[in-house]
Amino acid sequence: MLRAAITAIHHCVPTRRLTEAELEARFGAKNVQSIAKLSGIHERRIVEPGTTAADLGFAAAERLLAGRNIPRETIDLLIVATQTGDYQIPGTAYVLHERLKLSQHCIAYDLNQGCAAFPYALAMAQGQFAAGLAKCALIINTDALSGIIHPQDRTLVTLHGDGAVATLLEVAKGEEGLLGFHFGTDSAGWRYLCLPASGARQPRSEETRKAIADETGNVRSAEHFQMNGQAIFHFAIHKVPEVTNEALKKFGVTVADLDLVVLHQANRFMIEQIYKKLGVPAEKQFFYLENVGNLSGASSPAVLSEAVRQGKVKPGALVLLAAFGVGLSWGLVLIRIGQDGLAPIAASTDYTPAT
Amino acid sequence: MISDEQLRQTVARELRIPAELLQADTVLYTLPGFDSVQLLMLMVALEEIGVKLPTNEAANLRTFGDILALERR
Repeated sequence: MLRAAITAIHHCVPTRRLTEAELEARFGAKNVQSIAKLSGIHERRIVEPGTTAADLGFAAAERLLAGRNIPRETIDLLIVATQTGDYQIPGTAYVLHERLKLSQHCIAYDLNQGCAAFPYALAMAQGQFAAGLAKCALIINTDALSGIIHPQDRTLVTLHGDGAVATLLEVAKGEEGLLGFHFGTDSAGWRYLCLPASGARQPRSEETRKAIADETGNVRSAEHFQMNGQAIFHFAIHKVPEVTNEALKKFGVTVADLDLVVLHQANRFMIEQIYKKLGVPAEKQFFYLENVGNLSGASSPAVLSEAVRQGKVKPGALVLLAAFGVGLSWGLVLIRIGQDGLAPIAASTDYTPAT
Repeated sequence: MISDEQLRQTVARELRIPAELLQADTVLYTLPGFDSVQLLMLMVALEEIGVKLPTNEAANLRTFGDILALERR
């Protein structure tokens, strides 16, 4: 039975910076500094009007394929994980399949998942390797939440950035590859991260366009992404350590066996709380949010990609990646990096739309 | 069991406000300088002194009375 291994990864973020100074002018210095102190986020990258998550995903994938000289016809599986696709129908995978000039033999589909998207996409690819349906997969995690966040909703504007990650999976050699998965769902919390007027249940109307300020001064309409920050924070600092310990037991490893523990980058205080509860020492931690923000579904693979760029992922390294969010859902994957290592792609991570 | 007064003192200390400001119907967001960040820090502080806070209760914390109710259950 074939197993998949990550053999290349590359991420892209827009060049447009949303700075603390801009946000202080919008929300006041005290509010912005208070949030930055907790979140550890001082700058976010957001797309220009007219640029979509698919554009970012295309750039990341194009650079990865070019950087590794991967013939397009060898890609036989494309999974695009996004919640901000170009269209409701068809999936963004078909748009990107055409733009990337992939072959007609390539399976392509979307995965509608939020911050936990990466381990879910890896598991789907692994399943298709095991079933003999794929031998060379491209996973694109891409989101541009800036387009669905109300500009006066400081709880979200201050935290979120846009970004995309392309990951190449090939048949594992030896001990490398995706060694184990652990998933779960607490659907009692699905309302805590929600875009209400976005589908059949609540069609868009004059009513859904009305923006309303809540008692904390945050403004949003039913057509904007909404988050109950306190519920999500609570879920993350309690559920994530619990399920991570379950996963470690299931995989038969301990924190001492791991070289790197990658967490979804929601905010720094939250990540530190989780690392602390798990007893992860500083040298096995990695943060990638200060200058890019929370990249939603692209967050956890972007951490891995940035760690690769910084030379923090050594050949043969054992990496645990945990991602969590919309659903509420969680996904964990244990990854053994190949002995050849994961060399960074020699391309920029900045994306500027063509004029 | 944590008394109402212990909870009042803990919340006042965490928020750096006089304890007298905290009445059961006090809406946390109306307190001086209170923001969403302070709410998260407060949640951590409450759990550190043993207050059990399920996620669905955390989602609806709004008044000081909501905090008192957590401990009275």
